[in-house]
Formats: sequence, structure tokens, C-alpha cells
Amino acid sequence: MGKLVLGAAALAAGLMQAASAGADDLKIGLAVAMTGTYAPYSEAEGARCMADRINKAADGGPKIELMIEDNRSDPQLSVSLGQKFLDAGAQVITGVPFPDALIPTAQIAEPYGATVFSAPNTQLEMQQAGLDNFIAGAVPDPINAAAVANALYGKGALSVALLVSPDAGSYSEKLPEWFGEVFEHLGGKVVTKLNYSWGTTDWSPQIASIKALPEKPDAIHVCGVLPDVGILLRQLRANGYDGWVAGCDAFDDKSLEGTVGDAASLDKVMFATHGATGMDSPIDQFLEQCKADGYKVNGIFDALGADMVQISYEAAKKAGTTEAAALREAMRAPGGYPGTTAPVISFAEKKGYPVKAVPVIGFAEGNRVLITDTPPTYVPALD
Amino acid sequence: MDYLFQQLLNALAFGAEYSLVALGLAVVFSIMGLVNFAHGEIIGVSAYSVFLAAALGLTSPLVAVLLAVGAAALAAVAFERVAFRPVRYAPTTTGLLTAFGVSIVVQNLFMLLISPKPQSVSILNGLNQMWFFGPFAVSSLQVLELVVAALAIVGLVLFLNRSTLGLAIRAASRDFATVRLMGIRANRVIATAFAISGALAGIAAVFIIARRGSVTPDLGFGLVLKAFVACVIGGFGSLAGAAVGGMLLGFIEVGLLVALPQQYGGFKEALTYGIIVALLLYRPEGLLGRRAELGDKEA
Repeated sequence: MGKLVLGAAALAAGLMQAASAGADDLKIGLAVAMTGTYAPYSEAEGARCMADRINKAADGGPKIELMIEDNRSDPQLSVSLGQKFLDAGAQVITGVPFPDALIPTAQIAEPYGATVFSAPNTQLEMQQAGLDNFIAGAVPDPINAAAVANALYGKGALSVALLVSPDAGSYSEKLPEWFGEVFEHLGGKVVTKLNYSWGTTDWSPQIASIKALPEKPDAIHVCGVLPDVGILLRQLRANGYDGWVAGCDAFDDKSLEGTVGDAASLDKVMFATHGATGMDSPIDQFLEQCKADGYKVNGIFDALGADMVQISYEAAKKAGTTEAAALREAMRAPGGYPGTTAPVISFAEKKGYPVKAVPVIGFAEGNRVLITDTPPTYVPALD
Repeated sequence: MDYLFQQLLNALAFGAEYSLVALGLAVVFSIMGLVNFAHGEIIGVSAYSVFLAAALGLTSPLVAVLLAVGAAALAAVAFERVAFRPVRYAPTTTGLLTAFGVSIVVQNLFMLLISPKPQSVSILNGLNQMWFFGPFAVSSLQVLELVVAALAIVGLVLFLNRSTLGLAIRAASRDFATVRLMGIRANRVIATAFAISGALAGIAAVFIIARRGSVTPDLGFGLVLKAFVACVIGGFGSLAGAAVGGMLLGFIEVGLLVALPQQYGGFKEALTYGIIVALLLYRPEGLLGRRAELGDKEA
């Protein structure tokens, strides 16, 4: 009996020690889309690559524990997974990168003091919702829209047709309109605005409407996901449209090139994104190394995931604690932190999103090229 | 005038695609009373078969087309044998749930075994060209889609009216028990119906691949939901109704895109379903459906 009590006491002491060691860990819960509409835009593998790299380096900071689950592109499931991560002690969580998932997630995270850090989120609603515990890893949509408008106008385009959809909120509806506002501010003209549905696989009616315009527009702007925009490009080129097609960060996936197929069809395509990829940039080098190490990284969204992990880690080191509120305060410390998508990423100025350049990517003979990489000066809706 | 002609052609092409898929649903429903929501995954199997064959070195578009149709027919028969036959005599809701189950399982298999991301398939790109007829420029894909859908419908009608097996299928859709008493094997009739349904899905898959240039795990699911609506509009169980319902849905969708002022674009779906509800209030059994006895539910 005595041996049994002694054994139980030793076991309890061991468990307490383990629990105490775990309490200092930096726990990050990622409810990411491994399946469904948003699967091409998951940041999980990049986050995993960065976390393992930091843990291996063991340079005096806390151990990073990632909890990763599939949200199946379902906002409701994403919120439920957020609750699960919070109950498991996560100081930082994330989910489907849209307000219908992120706002309730931030609300349930607030009593825990935890931060919702959405690496790929760009929706303006998240910056206007008054959520102190929310941080986006990417710049908001109006900046993306303004960067493309500047680049397109710089290429000589003077008229544009906008394709808008209410299906993904401001991302698919307002972003093209903000683009149009900046384009007209610069001296261009929006000649028409056409509707489409998210998930469109046949753009023939919209293309017929564009062809029926008195003058062919120099450009078409759309903020849609893949493969939809790839199909649009194929159909536009098949219908003889040889003008510019401009878009947003959802264009930034390797499957764009695959879906369009013909390199010449990409020659007049441009999109604003979160970092230059496909041109041997530091981001490419990070992704290549991750790939070589066995991570199934895909593109820029993995790099954003890596930023999120690295910033959380550096902030915990600076704060000297993984306590949730102190960690968030440190994330917003002046001077920022090194990142993968930019040399320095700072949240000190804007609190809810980073200050960094917005690269606009184009194509030359099927290869990606950097068109511009300067922050736009005139940005609508943000202030 | 060009514009109206182009949009008319678009509506016909949309309708042809919906009709092809709706016919596939209707063939199975008319025999088994099963709304096969896994029909979209038959399209998926067909598309991924072409993707895999192309990845392994297939270059002939003709072989790709034959593969798409054959793989879809085989997949449909396999689904029936593995999933639907065991629940053939279960309540309708069991069949419905089984179909959703098969759909989810197959979509997940595509995701896990291949990728959740779009995969490029360029082997059928040649089908998508511009053809010029005087002042009109039309998409070869739309014309082909329309012609092939019409031929498929005519072929199906001929098969159902002229062949013994076709007559057995039509008879089974009216009174399965009597057909069995006449010595026709139920399994054969049902398997043939699934094979026809699969072949129609395969034809639809050819056009989907040619237009999209890529395959995704859920590429058929949304289309089947539209086909389901088309079947309801036309009258569930009626093959002619499925074809008419598909065409009508294509015209409603394109018509609203063209006619609706852009600032009201967000109402397109609501208006589409508003029109459908109005149609069903006028003819609850669908345009070509048979009136069902509702007993004391009637006013």
C-alpha cells in the first residue's frame, strides 16, 4: 500500500512538472482550411515550418506548440475550433480569414485575453469592428486595391470594367469598387460594373456584356478565388479579349498558371499580394527550404503563416512571458519584428494590421515579375 | 442584336449543361425514387480520371473524352452496387442520406489522395475555340455543348422507346413490381439506369474540364444542386421535364444577369428562386410532372 501511495505521489509530481513546463509554452491554435473553397490559401504548412525551425534553434525563447485542425472552410466550425484551442490554453488563435468567422472568434477569445492573429485576413470590416484583440497579418483590402490601381494606370490603362460579387462580402464587392475609386482619382474611368456569383464556372454572360460595350475597356478588375479567375482568364482570351486583367491576392496561387495553361494568356495579368514570390525572392528561398525539409508549402499564404509564428515568438521573447495580454502588447511594440514577407513587420502604428509594401505582380512569358512595390499614397475607405 | 444573340446562346449553353446533369438525376430517380446527390461526384470521378490519365502521359483528346464517359458510367454502376443497392428497399430518406454520404466520402478521397487545390488539365483545351459566322463570334464549346446535349437527349429517347432494356426502364419507372413479374431482372434495369446516368455525367464532365482547364474535389457538387432545381421545375421523375427544367433554369439565370440593373445584382439568387417558387405555386408537380395525390393536405 505504501509503495502504491509513493508511486502515485511520484506520478502526480511528474505530471505537475510537465504541466508547469507546458504552461510557459507559446500555444498557437490554427483552424485552417485544409479542404473546401479556401484550401489553396491555407497558411498552416508555413507556420509549421517556421515553428519547427524556431524550436530547433532553441535560442532562449519559449517552446512553440502549434495546434492545427481543418476548418473545412466552414466559419461555424472555425469558431468551434477556436473555442477548443482557447480551452487548451492557446494565447494566439486563428480561423477562416473572413469576418463571419473572425469576429465571433475574437469575441470568445476576449475573456481569455487571447489574440486572434489572422495571417491572411484583409477585410476592412475586421479593422472597423473595434476588436482590440484582433491582428491581421496582411494589409487591408483598400491598400491592395489602391496598389493595383496605381500599377495599372502606370501601364497606360485608362478604362476599366469591374466584376463584383456580394458573395464574399467586401472582399469581392468593395475591393473592386475601391480599386475603381483610386483608378478614377488617378484619371482613369470605370466604364461598367458587372455582377457574378462566387464559384462561377462559366463567365460567358459577363464576357458578352463586356464585348457589347461601345469601346473595349483597357482592363478588367476582379477579386475572385481560384479556379474561378483562372476560368475567367481562359474564357476572356478565348473570346479575343487582349486587355489587362487585374486582381487581388486571391490570384496568388500557383494553380493560376496551371489553370490558365497558356503563358501568353498571362502576359497582361497583374495582382497585388503580400510578398513577391516566383522570382527567387527571400520568400521563395524560405518556401524552397521548407519544401526541401518536407513541408507541403504552397506560396505566399504559407509565408504569412510563418510571419505570424515568428512575430508571436519574438514578441513573447521581448515580453519575457507568454501571458496572453502581455504578449499582444509586445506584438505591437515599436520597431516591429523581422518577418518572411518583409524585412521588418510592425504593428505599432496601426495596431490591427502591419505597415509594409504591397507588391504588384505581373507576368512575362509565363514567369512572374515584380511590377511595383511601393505603398500607395491615396487609399480610400481606410481612415 | 449581336449582344442578344450572344446572350441567347449563353442561355442555351447554360441550359444544355443543366439539362445533361438533370437528365442523369432524373433517370435514376424515375426508377429508384432516389435523388442521387452523389451524381456530382460521378462527374468528379470522370474529371479526375482524365486528370490522372493526362498526368500519366495521355495526349489524345478523343481518348480523353471516351475515358471521361466510360469512367463516369463505371463509377455510377459501382456507386449503385456498393452504396445504393443495400438500401434499395429502405425509406427514401435513407437513400438521400446515403447519396450525401457517398458524395462527402468521394470528395474527401479526392482531397486526401490528390489535393484540395485546383489541378490543371489542359488535354481538352482544344474544344474551346472561337468560331466566326459572319458578324457573329461564338464559342465552339457552347455550340458543341448544345449539339451534344441535344444528341444525348435524342439518343436517350430512342433508347428508351426502341430497345427492350429501354422499354423495361420506362415500365419500371411506372410499376417496378409488374416489370419484375414479367421476368425482367431488377438489378440489370437499375444498373443500366445508373450507367446511362453516369454516361450523361461523363459528357457533362468533358465540357466542364474543357471550360475550366482544371479539376477540384467539389467541381460537380454545385452543378448537381442546380440540376436538382431543374428537375423540380420540370417535374421530378419526368425525363422531358428534366431537360425542359434545365433549359428554363439556364434562361432564368442568364436572363437575370442581363436584365437586372447592376446595383441589384445581389438579388440575383433571390429572384431566381422567387421565379421558381412562383412557377411551382402555379404547377406544384413541376412543368411536366405527374400530379401526386396529396389527400387531406389539399385545401
